[in-house]
Order: sequence, then C-alpha cells, then structure tokens
Amino acid sequence: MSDPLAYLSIAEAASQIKAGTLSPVDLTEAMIARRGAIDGALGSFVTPTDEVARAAAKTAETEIAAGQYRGPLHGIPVALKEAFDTAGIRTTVGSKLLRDRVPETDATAWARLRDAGAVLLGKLETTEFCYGGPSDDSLSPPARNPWNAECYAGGSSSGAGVSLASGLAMGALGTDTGGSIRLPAAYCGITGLMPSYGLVSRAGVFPLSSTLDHVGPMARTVEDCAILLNALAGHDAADPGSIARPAVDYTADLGAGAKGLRVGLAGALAGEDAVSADGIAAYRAAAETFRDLGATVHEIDLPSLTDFATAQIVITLVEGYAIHEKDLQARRADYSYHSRMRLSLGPFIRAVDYARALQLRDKLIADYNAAMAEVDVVLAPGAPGPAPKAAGVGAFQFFSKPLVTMAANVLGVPALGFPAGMSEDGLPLAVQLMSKRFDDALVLRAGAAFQATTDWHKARPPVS
Amino acid sequence: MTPDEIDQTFRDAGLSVPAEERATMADGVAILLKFIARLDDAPIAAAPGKDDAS
Repeated sequence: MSDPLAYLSIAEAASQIKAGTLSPVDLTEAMIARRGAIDGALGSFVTPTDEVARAAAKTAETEIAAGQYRGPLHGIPVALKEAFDTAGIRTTVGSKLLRDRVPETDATAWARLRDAGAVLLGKLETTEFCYGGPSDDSLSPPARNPWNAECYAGGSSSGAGVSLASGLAMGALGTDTGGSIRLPAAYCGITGLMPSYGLVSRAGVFPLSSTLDHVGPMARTVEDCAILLNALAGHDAADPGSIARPAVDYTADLGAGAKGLRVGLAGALAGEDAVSADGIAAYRAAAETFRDLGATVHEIDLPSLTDFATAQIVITLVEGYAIHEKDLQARRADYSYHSRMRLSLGPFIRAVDYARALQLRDKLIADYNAAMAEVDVVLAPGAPGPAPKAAGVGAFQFFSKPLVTMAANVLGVPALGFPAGMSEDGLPLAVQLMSKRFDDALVLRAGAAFQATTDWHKARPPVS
Repeated sequence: MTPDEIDQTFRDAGLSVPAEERATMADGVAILLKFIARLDDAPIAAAPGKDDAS
C-alpha cells in the first residue's frame, strides 16, 4: 500500500470517500495489507477481522454510491481494544481466563461506530483486564512500541496506541481508568480523549473500576477524536453511569482557536518528581504555544497528585477486586503476573478506607471546581515522561510513582492527551488538557488550536 | 504490617500466594498502606447533620 494512505486522517479520508475519489474497499484492503506486512513485529492486533472488514467496506461503498452517505465515519477502517464486546468475535480482555470467550452482542460504543458506517479491522491488544502488563505471560504478548521495540507502549490500550502510530487503523476505541487511553497516546505519539464520565457508554466493555472507567476515542489528530466522539456520545440506559445530555457537535468549534482562552497550569500535578525533566520542558513549551496563540496562561492552585493518586488507587483496587475476587480465589495462577500482583492488594483495604477514598474524591472535585472558576482549560504533562523500557516496569510502579493522568479519572472530567515534543532518544512527549465535566468540546477546541500550529502529531515512527 | 499479618490477610481472603511472590507483594502492601494512612488525614466532608445542633 502507499504510505500516504496509511497516515490519512479520518477527516481527510472521509472527504475523499464522500467525493468518490477514495474507495472504502481499496482503503480497507490497503489497511489489511499493511497490517500483514508489519504487524508481525508489533503485535498490535490480536484478532484481525479481515472478512468482516471487507464485507462492511463493500456495503459502505455500495451505500455511498447509492447516495446513502452516513457521515464522516462511513467506510472508515477502525479497530477496538479487546475489552469491547463484539458479537461473534472472540474477546478475551487479554486473559487466559477468557481464552475462548465469544460475546453475543456488541458493546454500545462499537455499535454506534458501526451504525455510523465504520469498518471493523479487528481487535487490539490490551494488558490483561485493563490493569496488568506489560506481562509476557498474558494471553497476548504486549504490543511493541513502534518508536523503540524495547520500550513500553503504554497501557492498557496498548494495541490501540501502536496500531494508530503505525498507520494500521485510522481510529480506535480505548478505555481509561487511570490513564489507559492517554498513556499509550503519549508513549506512541498519537492523540486520545478520555471523555467526561457519563458521556460515552461503557455497556459491553469489560470493567475495572465502575466509578472511574471511561471509554474514549483514539486517533492521530484532535479533529479525528472529535469526529469519533460525535458518534459515540449519548445516553445509554444499559450503562448505570451514563448521563443524558443535550447533543453537541464536537467538531463545531475546532477552528475557533485559542485566543482568549484561559489556560490554567497544573503545577501541582507536575511536581513530586512525577514527571521527567524533558516531560516538564515539553509541558512548559506547550504553555508558551498557548500564550503565542493568544490565550492567557497562569498557574492555578490544585490539590496534590498524591491526593488524586490516593483516591484513584484505593477506589480502583476495591472496585477491581470486587470483580475478580472469586477468580483470584479459584485460579489466581491463571492471571498474568502484573495483574494478579496488583489485584491481590484488594483484601488489604477496609470498607472504611474505601468510604474515606470516596469522600476524598468529593473534596478533590470541589477543590478542582473552585480552581476552574478562574480558567477554561487546564494544561498538564501527559505522562511521566517518554516511554520507559518495558522490562523495567514493575508490578507496583504506578503505585510508587503515581501517574499524572490519574487526576482526571478521579474528577470525571475530559482529558485530551496529545504529542507535544520529542525526547533526546527520539521518543514522543505529551501533554494533556482538562476542563470541567462535560466541557469536552472546549478541550477539543484548545487541542485543535495547538495542533493547527505545531507538527508534533505528524511525527511518525520508523516502521516501514 | 508484618509478613505473618500479610500471609494471614491472604489466607482470610482465600488467596493462595506462592512464596516466591510474597516479598514483592509485601512491597506493594507497604506502598498501599502509605496511601491508606493518608486517608486518615485527608480533609473529608463531615457526615451530614452530625454536628447540627438543631
């Protein structure tokens, strides 16, 4: 396939498909061929669905030719983290415990993309149960970072990050409980949005922590994330956390720029040695970019990252242990190393600790909302730094060194991660933008303004 | 928490943790307990009505 096709954005491909100058069938065949050529070394796909994709692409082409164009996802090849149920397609969540699991129904989020005309290329590697990894003893080996195969691709939506960075899909769905969309986005050099809690349905997605889990789009540009979010957002009675909201066109303000935006700097989240020097430098440079774009930029007073991490870690362990208790009792050895070690901390948390963690979360939300009275969006580092070596990621690494991504999960606010620099070793660096809950359009607008004036999101890894 | 207390917690929970994993688990427990200790000092909301004399 020609490489320019591999790295087309959804917006670009949609324009060509609508105009009749790009065939969804040709695009899909090109994606399948590229995966066959290079994914053996990357391992981003665990279950390709070539025939499903070919049939959907053919249907899209026929419909579009008949004047039944559904919109900018019609005929667009996408892929799903293997935590999303797909009717008739194996979905193991990366675990030997679910080795033969084949769901009977589609996750709501995938059903919405499917109904918008998207073409399913396959299922993408996830760290086990969205909490393990990178573990070599999981059902599927960790996807390799295309920038450096020795480096961690981020988790848990690892396959999504790798496939997008490598030009193997145009969009993907991930999940995020403490950073699982934004960390692979940061380490692989792509763009990912964790939407507001309640905005995108989680029905049919394997849970980790019911009050912290989010489903969101991953792509190579902010605009593509907005296009995906337009299809994904909306109330779903099948998800108890889903909130009914007025419909919003998340692409409408993407060209509005950053002039006049009030950008708060989250110094508290960048402190405590949570972020590398080059990560801090990229974050500060991004702040300067927003100043250059006409935004007002100043530090705001936020709670400490350790407070956010305390709430995130305790809540996740309790809610995750509730899901896995019986299987851990019966077949703990069948879990991969990292997930069984982490989940086995569950019994050490008392009911009163969980209650206090929930109360702490309420306090953190109140403090954050008070700080947000001064600003429209918050800029923070997008990751602890460039991708670390995979072999050095220990079982409790993100406990001993809390992740800057955890705050947004505790708050339930939108968080958009995107590339903002490059390390001396040639690895992507990232920042994230947060806002108030349900102000997803605002972080997308600010992110689009950043990408309109920078090229970090156009950097490509050395894959052929 | 001592190694014996950790082992007892696992037994009470019905988890079988092999000997070769116990030292690493103890490290994880130590980190977790530091977070839990912070909850004791966390500025949390008072129970509604608790101090309401009316």
